[in-house]
Amino acid sequence: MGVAVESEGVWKTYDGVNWVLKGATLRVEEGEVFALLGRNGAGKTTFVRIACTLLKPSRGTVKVLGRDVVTEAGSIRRRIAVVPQEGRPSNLSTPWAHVYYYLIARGMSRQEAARRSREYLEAMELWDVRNVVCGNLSAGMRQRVYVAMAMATEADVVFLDEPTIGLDPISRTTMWSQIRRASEGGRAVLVTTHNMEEAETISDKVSIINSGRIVATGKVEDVMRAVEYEYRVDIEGAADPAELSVYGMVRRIGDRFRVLTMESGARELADLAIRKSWRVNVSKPSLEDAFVILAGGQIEEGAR
Amino acid sequence: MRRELADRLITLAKSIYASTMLFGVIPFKQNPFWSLSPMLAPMAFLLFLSVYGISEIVPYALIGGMMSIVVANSITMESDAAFNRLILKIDSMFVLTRGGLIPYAVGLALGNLINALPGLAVFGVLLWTLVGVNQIWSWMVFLGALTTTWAIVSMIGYYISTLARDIRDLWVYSPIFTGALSYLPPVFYPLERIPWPELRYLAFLSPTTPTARLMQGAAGLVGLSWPETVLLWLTPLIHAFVIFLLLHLRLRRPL
Repeated sequence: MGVAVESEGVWKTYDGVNWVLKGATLRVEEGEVFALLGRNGAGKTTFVRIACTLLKPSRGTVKVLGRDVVTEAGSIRRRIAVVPQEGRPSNLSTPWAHVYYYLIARGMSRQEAARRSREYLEAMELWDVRNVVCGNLSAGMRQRVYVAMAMATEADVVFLDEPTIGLDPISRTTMWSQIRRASEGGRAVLVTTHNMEEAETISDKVSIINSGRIVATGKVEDVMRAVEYEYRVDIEGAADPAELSVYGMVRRIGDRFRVLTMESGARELADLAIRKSWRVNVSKPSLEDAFVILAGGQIEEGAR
Repeated sequence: MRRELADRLITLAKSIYASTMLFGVIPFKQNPFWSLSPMLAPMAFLLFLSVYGISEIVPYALIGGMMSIVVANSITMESDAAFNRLILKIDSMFVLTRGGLIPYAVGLALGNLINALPGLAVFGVLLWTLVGVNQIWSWMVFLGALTTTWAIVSMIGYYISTLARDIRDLWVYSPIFTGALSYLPPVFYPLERIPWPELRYLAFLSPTTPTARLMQGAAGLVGLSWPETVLLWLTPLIHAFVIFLLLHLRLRRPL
C-alpha cells in the first residue's frame, strides 16, 4: 500500500501570533480509514484544509499521493474529494442534482455521472428522495447528500470533516458502512471527529490532536495503551470524588463519576457501591478514556 | 497537445455547465419570481415617463433598464458566492474539480444571468417595437455591451463576496451597487447631460458608462465617432483587467 497523506512538522497560524497547528506529523496509507480525533478548535479542520490544498501551511510539508499540496495542488485536486465541516446542500436543488452535476463538474460523462449518482444515492439511502428539494429533507439527509457527492467521485483520497454531526444513530451507521466500503476499494479516507464510537468503529488508525499537536497515533488498541488502568467504573449516586480518588483517576461526567482503576480497585469500588446503594457499572476503558487522558480534558457533550 | 487542450476545454465547459445548472437553472425553476424583482425599478421608471408623457427619454430608459437588469442580476454574485462559501461551503468542493474555482464562478455568474433573461426579453421587445431598433448590428452591440457588463459586475460581485465574514454583511451591497452602477452614471441618460466635463471623465470609473454609451450609440440616440467607439470598447477591458487583478490577488491571499 502506498502513502495517501503524509505530513511532516506542519505548523499553521492565521494571524502570525496564535498557532493552530504545532508540528502536526501523520501518515495515512492507501486503503485506510484514518480518524483525526480532537476537541473543537484542536486544529482538525485546519489540517484537512491544508491537506485538501485549500490552505497553505505556515511551516512544514504535506504530501497527498506523493505530491506537495503547495507546489502541486492542481494535480492533487482532481484525485481528492472533501466534505466540508457543517456544509449543507442548497435548499433549492435536489439530492440527484447535487450528486449528478458535481460529477459532471469533475469531468465525468453523463452516463457515468448518472450511474454513480444512482449507486451512491442508493447507498446513502437517498434514492427515494432523489427528486425532493433539499430544503424539504431532514438535516441528516442533507448531510448525507454531501457525503454522497464526495463518495461518488471515487477519488483516491476522501476527506470527511466531521461528517456525522447531527445524524441519528441509524443514519450514522449507514454513513460508517459507506466510509468502510470506500476504503475497501483501496481509497484512503481521512475522517475528523470527536465521536469516540465513530473512531473506534470505522478507523484502521487514529491520531489524537490536542491544541494543534498530534499527541498519539496508531491503531485504536495502540492508542488505548495510553490508559494505564484496567477498568473503568461509572458510579451514580452521592459519591465523594475525594473518596473515589484513592482507587484511581476520577472524572465527573454529568451527575456521575467515572473512575479509571485496576482490577482490585474495580472490585473494591463495586463492593463499596453495593454497600452505599450507588448505581455502578464496570467496563473496560475505551478510546474515549484514552482521548481524555491524552487531550487533557472533557470531550464535548453529546460526542460520546 | 491539441487533444489535451481539447480535453481541458471540454472539462471546463462541463464544469461551467454543471455550476450553471446547479446554481442557476434549477433554483430558477423553483422560484421564477427572482427574475421579476430586478426589472421592477426600471419598469416603474418607464411607467412614470409614460404617465408624464416624456417620450423622448423612453429610449434611454429602455437601454438603462436593460443595463440595470444585468447589473442587478450580476452583482448578486456577491451574496450567492458568499452564501455558497459561508453557509453551504460548497465552493471548497468545487475547488477540487479539474477546472477549480474559475468555471464554478463562471457558472454561478451564468446562473444569475438566467434570472435576467425574462427582463431583458421584455425590454428588448419594447426597444424593438417602441424605438424601432431592428438592425442586427445594433443588437450585436447590445449583446456585446451587456455581456461585458455582466462579466465585469460579476467579477466585482465575486470580489466583494470574498470580503464577507457573515452573509448579512452583504445584504446591503446589492441595492447600493445596483444604484451606483445603474442609476448614478449615464446609463439612463446621455453622457452629455452631465454639466461638468470633469465629472464626465469621472463617470468612466463605472464600467457601465462605456457599455451604456455603446448601446445608446447603437440605438442611434448619440453619435459616436470611430475613435470614441474603439475607446468605449477598450475602457471596460481596462476595468475587467483591474478587477481580475484584484480578484487574483485576493484569492491568493487565504493560501
